[in-house]
Amino acid sequence: MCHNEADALDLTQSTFLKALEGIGKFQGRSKFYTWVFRIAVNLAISHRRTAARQTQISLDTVHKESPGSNGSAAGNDDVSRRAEQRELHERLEAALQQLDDEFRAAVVLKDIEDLDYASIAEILDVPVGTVKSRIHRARLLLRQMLSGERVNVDQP
Amino acid sequence: MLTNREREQLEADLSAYLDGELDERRTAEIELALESSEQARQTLETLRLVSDRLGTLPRHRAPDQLTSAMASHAERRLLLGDDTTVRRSRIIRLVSQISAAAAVIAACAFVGWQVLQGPDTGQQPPMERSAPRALKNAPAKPMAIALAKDKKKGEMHESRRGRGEDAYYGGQPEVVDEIEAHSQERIPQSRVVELAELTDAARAGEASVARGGAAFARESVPETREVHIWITPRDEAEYVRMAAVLASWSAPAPGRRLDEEKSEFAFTPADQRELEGKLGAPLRRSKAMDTLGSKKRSPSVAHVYQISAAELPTRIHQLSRNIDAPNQIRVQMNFDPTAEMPAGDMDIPGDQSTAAGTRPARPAAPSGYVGPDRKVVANKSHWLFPGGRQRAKGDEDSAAAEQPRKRVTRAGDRGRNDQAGVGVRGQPSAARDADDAVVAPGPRREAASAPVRSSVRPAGGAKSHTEAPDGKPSTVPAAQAPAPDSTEETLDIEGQPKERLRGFVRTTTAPATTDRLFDRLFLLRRSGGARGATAAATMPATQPAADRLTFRVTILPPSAAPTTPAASQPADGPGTDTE
Repeated sequence: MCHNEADALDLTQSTFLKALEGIGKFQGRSKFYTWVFRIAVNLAISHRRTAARQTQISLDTVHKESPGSNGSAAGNDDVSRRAEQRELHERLEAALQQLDDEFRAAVVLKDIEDLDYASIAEILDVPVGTVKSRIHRARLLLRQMLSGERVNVDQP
Repeated sequence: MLTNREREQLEADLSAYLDGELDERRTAEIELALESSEQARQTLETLRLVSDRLGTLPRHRAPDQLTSAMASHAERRLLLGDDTTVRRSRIIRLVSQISAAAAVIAACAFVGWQVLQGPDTGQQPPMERSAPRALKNAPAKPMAIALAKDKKKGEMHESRRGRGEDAYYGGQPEVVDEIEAHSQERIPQSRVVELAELTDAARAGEASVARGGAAFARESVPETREVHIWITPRDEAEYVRMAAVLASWSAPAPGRRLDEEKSEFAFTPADQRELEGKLGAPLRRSKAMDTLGSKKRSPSVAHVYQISAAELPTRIHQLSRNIDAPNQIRVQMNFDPTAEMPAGDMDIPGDQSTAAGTRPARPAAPSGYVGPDRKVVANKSHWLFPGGRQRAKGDEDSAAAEQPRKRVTRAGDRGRNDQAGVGVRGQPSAARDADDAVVAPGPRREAASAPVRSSVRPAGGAKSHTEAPDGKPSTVPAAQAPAPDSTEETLDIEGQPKERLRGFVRTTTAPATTDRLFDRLFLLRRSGGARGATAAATMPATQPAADRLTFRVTILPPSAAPTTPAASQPADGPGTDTE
């Protein structure tokens, strides 16, 4: 969601701090996980919007290890497979980062967190129909991005 | 043949079909359409591919420290009593749920991060992969990030430190990384609190108590979960601000010395509001803050808390553990020794309802606090109701009700003098002035540079001896002439029936209290194991359970006498609980 490990750690901590502080408002009408997820997603989206206005350089990327620096014992096929997988993940991540927050949140909650539409709707505070359309739209956009098509992410 | 509209509708439902979110009728329709449309099948396949690939993105567990940090946070909230709406048991129960959910949420937050890391070893499936290297060593990561962000603004800079500093702290676990940060500009209060919270969280993992000097976070080996944070104030005002935070039980105390020549204290009302906002409801700022911060400018700062009697020993224990500048801290407690008084029946000075007879007047039974000189300085400045309700600001008689408070507050302005004449805070001004005159035969700064031992004669003793730094005892009336309109009076602690003095007072009757009051071990003994149950047991049975003590913590500027960091450090090492 936030594309940065340190920020993710901060957001995770903030999520639970907020959950603790606001736990009195949790009335049990939704699942507890859903409630916490909602806090997390809102924080992540808020964080991204804030971060979008700032230029940040992740030290982690600077210190990122060079490919092939480990795993020397693995066979060439294995190295090749992992390289491909890593490349795919990078492309997926890059594509996810290009999505609007609303699309990314929906598709992440569905395809990565494996939540159902109703839970996602509750987390995002939108109707189920909206969730459905956002997920579908996000997948189409991702497909286009991954296939190298030129994508207008602003299109509805 | 599908119409355009049907095709659009079909495509829109393909993802839902793929996810099994359609009802049976619509599912059947989609399946029928898929049989007849090659394009729909291709679209479905690509959607499935995208979905599957997204599912291969690695997930990560939340760091183990998160659980302990959350538990610490919850514990602090419970101890501070700032959650009046939530039942404690409910918090405790839900904290465990939160902790259990940490992994799931963190997985969401960490999505995709792994792709930025080094090559996957391929030894573990993604879902079972442990936290990445950076996370394993990341108890201080938020600190590091904060510093990194500040660095971009030119406010902070980081530098790596070697392990040579370990000797400074003695017996520290192996430190694998350290980050030092020097404050180039004023540290925002929010950051101070942030650091405080971080430290507090770290303490949950048996972290050492940080202490003054530089400001740096230290990443230790994961097993120790140890984070050290030193905060170097840019100036003395910053020191005091942080000291105020320390008084909130959230942070360690910097042992940095205050230059006696500097008495700057710019704790503005805005700072106060921010601090209160950060620290939450339990902080009940007295008028002292206003006076100290905005008008008089004093190097001391005071906080007044309302806490339960049962919590007090724990607080004292925490204070003794967390602050290594004991001569900078003064703790005073107001309590109501009239156990028979029902809640809500407190005599409020100037309270019209009392005067009108709507509330039965009670005898002027003293409440008081204990000064290090074994005095019980009783005062009737009952600006708190027994039930803990603070007087409404809008009361017409608030000025009269707060008068004693202001008197006590102004005593705080004399932090330096108070430091010399330990225990004089809160005394009637006349007596205090007399003490000051005696305490400071020379320049006041000189008098302040060394603790002055005061003693009070045993029961019935009308004199108190105050020993100046030069060793010449001086005699002043112990309970000299409270102002006629004053609601304060000075009591001789040993002249009071013990049943009136109760728990904490009784413990301070030990000899050499001046020396031992803030001694760590003494405090530990005094707190009876620092457990609320013990304190509760010492409270009279007739004391209303809901009664609140007013617990005032005053942090004074350091004395001029230099104290080496090693000397200020407890012998058993930082942060270790000697219980």
